[in-house]
Amino acid sequence: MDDAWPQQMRKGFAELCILIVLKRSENYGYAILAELSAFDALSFSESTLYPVLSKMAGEGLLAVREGPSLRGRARRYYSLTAKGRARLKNLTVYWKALRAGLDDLLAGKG
Amino acid sequence: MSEHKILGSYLAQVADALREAGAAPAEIADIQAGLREHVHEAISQDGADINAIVASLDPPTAFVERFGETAVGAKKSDREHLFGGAGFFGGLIVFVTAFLILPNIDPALMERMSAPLILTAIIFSASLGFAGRNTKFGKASLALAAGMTGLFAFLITRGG
Repeated sequence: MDDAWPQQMRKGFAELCILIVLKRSENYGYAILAELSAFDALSFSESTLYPVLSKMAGEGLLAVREGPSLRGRARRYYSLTAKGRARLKNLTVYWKALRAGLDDLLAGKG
Repeated sequence: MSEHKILGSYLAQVADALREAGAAPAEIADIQAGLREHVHEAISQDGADINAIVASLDPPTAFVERFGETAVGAKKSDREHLFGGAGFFGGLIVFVTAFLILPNIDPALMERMSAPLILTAIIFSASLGFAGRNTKFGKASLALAAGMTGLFAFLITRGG
């Protein structure tokens, strides 16, 4: 059985998941992964997270600042920019429409 | 192998894979910094052993798959392949024209045109090869430009 498709679907939603986590407060990579790992269906790995964080920061969706951790090592904290908040709003609308469409399709409506 | 060497080796493999996929140096450094921070957070927060953490990380090829799906990475990679290919084949065509085709058509014309043509080919291959330096054709284009420069210098010095 091909088990790759759940991973592929999760990757597709990585940007939305990150935007939702950062909507509450700024956070750093490891904590974002830990927060998402609390949801089995949403957890993804570092090979997805860090390239996506880099891409989102490059697109101006996230602001990055360096701050110390409790042990003194530098941590990079990510937060939403105005552009990031706008992207979150658009993706949320799209997600709701997508979910409604799939639910209707599964229910045999249409 | 020390702990840091294991992490360093892993990060170097990730960088190589990303570079091959056309990632810019700044993006590679960004992803490496994230991974380095990730490993150190896992050590400080979970008390995990660095060997175990690095072993549990995704293989470098997984980063390439993810990077290739990003619009920026895919476009850049395509563009660099295009530059590299154009530099190599364009330079080769001009070089062959100057040294193999032109002498058979008109030796007098070859006398006048070979130097400007070969200089054009060197500049063309070197500049496009540099723009696509992360790809195989880009490297081949740079090698071609270097070879043509050497040949040109040789011909000048022997008065050819």
